[in-house]
Amino acid sequence: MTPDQRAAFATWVAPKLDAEVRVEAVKLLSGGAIQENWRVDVRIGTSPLKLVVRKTGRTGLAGSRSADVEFRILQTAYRAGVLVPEPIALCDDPTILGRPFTVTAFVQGIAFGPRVVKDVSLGGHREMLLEQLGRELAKLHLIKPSTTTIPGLPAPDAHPSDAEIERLRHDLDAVCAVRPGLEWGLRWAELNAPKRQSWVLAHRDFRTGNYMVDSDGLRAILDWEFAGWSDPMSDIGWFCAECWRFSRPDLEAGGIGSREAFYRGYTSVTSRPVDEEAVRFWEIVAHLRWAVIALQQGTRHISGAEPSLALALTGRISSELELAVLRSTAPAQWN
Amino acid sequence: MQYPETSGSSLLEIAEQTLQTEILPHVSERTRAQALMIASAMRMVAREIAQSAKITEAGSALLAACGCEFSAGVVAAIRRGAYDADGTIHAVLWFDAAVRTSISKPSFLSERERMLVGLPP
Repeated sequence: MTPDQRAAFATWVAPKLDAEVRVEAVKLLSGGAIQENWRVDVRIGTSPLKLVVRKTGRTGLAGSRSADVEFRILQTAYRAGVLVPEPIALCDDPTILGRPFTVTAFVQGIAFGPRVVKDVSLGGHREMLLEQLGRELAKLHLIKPSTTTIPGLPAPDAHPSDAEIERLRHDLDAVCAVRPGLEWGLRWAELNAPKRQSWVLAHRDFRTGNYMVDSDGLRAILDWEFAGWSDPMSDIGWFCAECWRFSRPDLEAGGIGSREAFYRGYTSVTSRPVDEEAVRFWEIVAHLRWAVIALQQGTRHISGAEPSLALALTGRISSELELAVLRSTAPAQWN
Repeated sequence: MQYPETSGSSLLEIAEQTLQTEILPHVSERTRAQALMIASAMRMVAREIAQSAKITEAGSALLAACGCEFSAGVVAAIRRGAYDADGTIHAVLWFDAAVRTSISKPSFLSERERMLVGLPP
């Protein structure tokens, strides 16, 4: 942040905190391939306060929520008792920091997925961590479109799987990606979707790497930019998908432990059982979706909009994801 | 006259090795992450050059199996259900994805897939 931006931010945020504010330090946080996250240390009178300012990225992905919708989803989750950073304020005035942004409370901890998986000193007892993650996800899934309106998030009207497949085909076409292997997987998904589906508020990127832990356990669920209405098993499938287990493909729940612990936590909060066949379906769709996102990331580089070696390499991940889909959708697996 | 030259892929290999042994040990933590990505990209390009014949073979096999001139035609056919549960199409798609994965992440391949794409076990 420039000195002028610091001053503009302090002036803007003061009434939200109901106090005079002085910005003392600003630090760019690591992580976030799409959004830009800054830790902003302020002082209110004599009291220090740590905030996170999250700015909309210069280029985004189709499917990323706007700052205001993401903020409202975060508020909804917070009010429902889901463990998230406290949402403080939303700014849609681009003159303050150059782009719209949100402000939340800072949470200390580690979120980097490969490290959370590898470093068993993080997260406390791993099976208990998984139970808690299951509980938090279930609390979120208690929020339904039939009883909750979130401005900017239209009520859904199709089957969750149909909506997802249509969205993925649209996204592939939008980046001009000609990928017969992914198309095969999408066609399989179209014909093999679970019969029973329902709509809940889903995180849609609930995985290791998007929750914060410290040595004692879970601190917060992060990164709500893809959240929206979906089938509850889609979140469980995303969390357990092999592509999100990092260096521990053998630990089926997020690369950190057993499905049983995760499911146990989940079903302790909701009467909805975990439909294992549906979860398996959504795990395959998770690989399709991550492959499409990877291609979108690669396109941000290829288009010249955001030249980046990291984005270029991410685009290449799509090949192994496609291979994983094809392994799981051999002709014998078609209905 | 012949002018002995290092091939493109082996040039990249030695460049990447030099990066790993001569540069990486001396860079800061922040720069290290970037340097590791550069090394990864160089390895990938070297593999792409080495696998170029397989890439062509996979692409041709897919078009031949579908009777299409272009991949867009294959995509359209799959989308409309022309190849649902078709074992031949699945096999060529699998080969194509395995060849590309042999370039981007060869460690992901199974033993059988390694054999399929012509990599040593």
